[in-house]
Amino acid sequence: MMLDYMDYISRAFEQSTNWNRDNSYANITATTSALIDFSVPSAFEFQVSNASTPFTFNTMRVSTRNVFNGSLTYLYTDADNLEKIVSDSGSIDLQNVTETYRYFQPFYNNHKLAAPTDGKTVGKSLYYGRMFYPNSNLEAMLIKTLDPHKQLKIKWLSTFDDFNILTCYWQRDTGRDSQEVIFSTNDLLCGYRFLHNFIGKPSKMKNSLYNNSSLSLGAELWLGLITLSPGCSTTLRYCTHAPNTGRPLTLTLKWNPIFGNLSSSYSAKTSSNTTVCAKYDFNLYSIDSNLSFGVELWRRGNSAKAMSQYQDVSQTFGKDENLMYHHLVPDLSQEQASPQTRKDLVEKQQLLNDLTTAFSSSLRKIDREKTMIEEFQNNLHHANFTSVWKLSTSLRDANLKVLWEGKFKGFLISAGAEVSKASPLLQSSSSEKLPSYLSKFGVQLQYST
Amino acid sequence: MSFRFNAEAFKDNSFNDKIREKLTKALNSSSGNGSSGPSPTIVESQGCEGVAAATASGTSSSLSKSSAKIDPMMKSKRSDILKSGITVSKVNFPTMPKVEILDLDISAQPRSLVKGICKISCMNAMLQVQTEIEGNLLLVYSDYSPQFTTPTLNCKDSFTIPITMVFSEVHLEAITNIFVKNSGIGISFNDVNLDFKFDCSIKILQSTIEKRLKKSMQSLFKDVLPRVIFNMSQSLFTAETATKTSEAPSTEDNEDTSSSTMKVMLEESDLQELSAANMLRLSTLISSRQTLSLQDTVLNVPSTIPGCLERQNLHRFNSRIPSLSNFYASYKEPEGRATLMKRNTSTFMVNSHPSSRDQNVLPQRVLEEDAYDLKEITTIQSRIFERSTDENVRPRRRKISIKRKPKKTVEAPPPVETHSDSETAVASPKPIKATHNALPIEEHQPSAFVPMKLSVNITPRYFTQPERTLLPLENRHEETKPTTLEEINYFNYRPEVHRLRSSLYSPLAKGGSILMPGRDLAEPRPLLENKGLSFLGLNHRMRKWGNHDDPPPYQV
Repeated sequence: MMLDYMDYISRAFEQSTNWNRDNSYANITATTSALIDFSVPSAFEFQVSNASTPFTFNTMRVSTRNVFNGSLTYLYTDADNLEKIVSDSGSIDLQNVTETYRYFQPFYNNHKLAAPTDGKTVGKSLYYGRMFYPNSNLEAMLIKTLDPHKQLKIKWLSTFDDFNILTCYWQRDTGRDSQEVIFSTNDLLCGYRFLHNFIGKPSKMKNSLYNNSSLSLGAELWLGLITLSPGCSTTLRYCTHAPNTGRPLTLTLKWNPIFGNLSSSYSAKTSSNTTVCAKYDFNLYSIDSNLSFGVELWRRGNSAKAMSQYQDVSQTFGKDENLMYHHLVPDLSQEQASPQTRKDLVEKQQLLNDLTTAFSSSLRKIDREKTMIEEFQNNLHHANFTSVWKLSTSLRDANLKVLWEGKFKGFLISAGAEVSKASPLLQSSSSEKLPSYLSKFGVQLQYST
Repeated sequence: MSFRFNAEAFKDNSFNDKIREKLTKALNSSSGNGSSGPSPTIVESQGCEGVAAATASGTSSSLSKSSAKIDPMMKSKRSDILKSGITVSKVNFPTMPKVEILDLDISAQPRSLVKGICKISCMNAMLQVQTEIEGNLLLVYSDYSPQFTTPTLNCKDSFTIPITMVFSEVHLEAITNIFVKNSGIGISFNDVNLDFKFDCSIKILQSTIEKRLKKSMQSLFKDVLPRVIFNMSQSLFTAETATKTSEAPSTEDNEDTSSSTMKVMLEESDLQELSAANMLRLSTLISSRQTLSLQDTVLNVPSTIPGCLERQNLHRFNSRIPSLSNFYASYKEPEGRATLMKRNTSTFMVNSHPSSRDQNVLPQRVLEEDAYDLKEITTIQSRIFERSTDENVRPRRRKISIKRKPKKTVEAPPPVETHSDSETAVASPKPIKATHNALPIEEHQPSAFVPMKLSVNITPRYFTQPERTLLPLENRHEETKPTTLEEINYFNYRPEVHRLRSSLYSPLAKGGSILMPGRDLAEPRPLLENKGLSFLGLNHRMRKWGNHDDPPPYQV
């Protein structure tokens, strides 16, 4: 389903405060879930959103399934630059409002970007309130950045029948490590999760010298204090690019030690318009297995504006950042030193020059890879996509999900259907084949100004 | 009351399969909707097998016991953690469950129809239940929690565990009190002795489950089972009523075939809600119609059911319909009265005297002997009028104040009501002009049935005989004093009929009764065409009060 407007705003808030949402264990398998476990709208839903000022946003949502209901949302934030990040539904980039392949930047790139904006993001907060009707539930959320690396998030849900849930997140993200402590009053659930990014070192195993890959390891621990239900899992994620084409790919391996579940996934952007994901689940204890596939097909619109932008950016990138290993070579012209040292330097220079000539092919290769990856990346970031088809199927559940999301005359439309067999509860009792049926169908319309 | 216990169902061991099927079905259906307990379906289907209600609840309680036994553990999380349906793989009752009736108190009290004490025992039974549960409780947690406040969990992998539970050597002995009440069947378990061995395929859970089972047994027999059975009986009765009422209009079509149906009178309160006791009576009526048994000696034949009017007692009803001929029934021909008073004779006798209730005329002898009472006559006539017309229409009456002795003509209510139902014989009282000689009529009479100061010719019979026949009616009238015309106007036709009904069957009046679906007779009976009586049909839901549809007829 398309990203809710308020989720979009809160992501914009994260972007404005330099919070990297991918660097969290909660989103370590975001790519897989976006491609396979995406949700399909199950009702007719219409949303009108409005950024009344750069700091306040509101949304009205109505949906009809069996009954007519809706919600009213208000959001206030004091983050800067939101007006530059948030755009209306006509000019929004489709890839920003759909859950899609998460393009994970390696840690050091990210870190470099985050450094200069230090201090400005402290103390920013976001207040969010949502009122449902007719059942009068209330949702509230508060996000507060404590310092550049810490953030506090409180979510609160209240219903009229004395059902209140408070969930607190305390998050710390230093770029290299990310920790999170969660407490929820529902079942007194306590959780801790962390993520660690290994800094990639070139090794014999890697034939690609340009290191734009990242390896992350994370784990989570949960305990519901009332029902004493434990949970834990650990995940390894490896993001890299195909060396010859520069296309990104992500591999994850998840292991649940309590229930013996092993889940591996492979997702790749096979071209700038398609993404493929395969997931294989296997349970060591029960020997259950499941194979799932997900595909995304993007369709581009023809927009000259976007293309020119992209070219500008790629040029600047090309000049600036070709220096991954070249910067090791000192610049001789600026050295003022004695002849002795100068002689050493000349020798060094000679040596370096020799080395450069010797490895020139490799360095050129690095440059080529780098530009290729960045070209691809920029191509993706600035492409003017108009619609996307998402398909996903799973062998064990025997279902097929289809989702279309796109822009149409300033509206963001997301329509989807799910075909599945009868629910697992009914399925196993009777062994005969059950006919597949349309279990979900829905359309969602969003409009924002 | 008679009931049938189908012991054949338990003779061979095939009932084990039946129990298994039904248990499986019930457990799965309850896991589907999750709200209602599984027991009702079992008990209901058991009841359908022809086991009479009282014993059905007894025997089926052993079934529902075993089914509800699985309940408590599943109850909280049934819809959540169960990954598949519940399969009852093995059921073995080596001996048939015993139901021993220790005491059966059958009394026609309205509070409880049947009271009984039963001993239920079942020995050495075995039950094996299989299902699959979700091992990952956090998955269940995140599925059933609001999405907004639930943190994203990565460890949401489903892990299903098959679980087999074996209950072996189930011994059950229980003393139950059974009440068949108006509202349903109530059961209380007094002396429950339950013992079983429990074996679970997951050994870690065995002790916990067993502990919980044992703990919940108390509440099961104290609260759950009686409530379930009570609800079941209620739903059974109401379901029956629903089908009955829906059948009613369709049966009206085939009038000729249904002419043999019996007419049952019921009280107004019964129509507002149909109670279980009424349904019981109704079923008795149906069975008595099918078996043609009408003897009074057997309990619960129609004649003993309060509010039920049998054909053979029709004359009793008719004799209480306000009309002049009824009031002065004692002045009729003695042989006619003799046949009327004879109960239990064949319907032929009553048929031979059909005119006795049809005519609203004074017997000749009354006039001859000068034994009438004007007040009575006006009372009767105004009552007839009230029954036959809308309560809002006030009768036009002319009052004549009598000064002194000279001859006066007293006019009874004019025939204003003839416009509404002129075809009925009863409804249109003719203006009766009676000449009265030397009879001073007192304007203010102190009490209702103080014998009036009539002149000479009053025989003692005049006061005694109607008093005897109409005794309950008169008693009521003494309370309400509906003597003068003005006072009578106060009563609309409903309390009037209610009074009539309750006077007919005063001791049993509170229990209420019900009517069979009314079927129309080809030949309309004048008495029942009267509007005031048409509400007595069961099909009042389809009709409005006092419309001109043919009411359910008496059978003649």
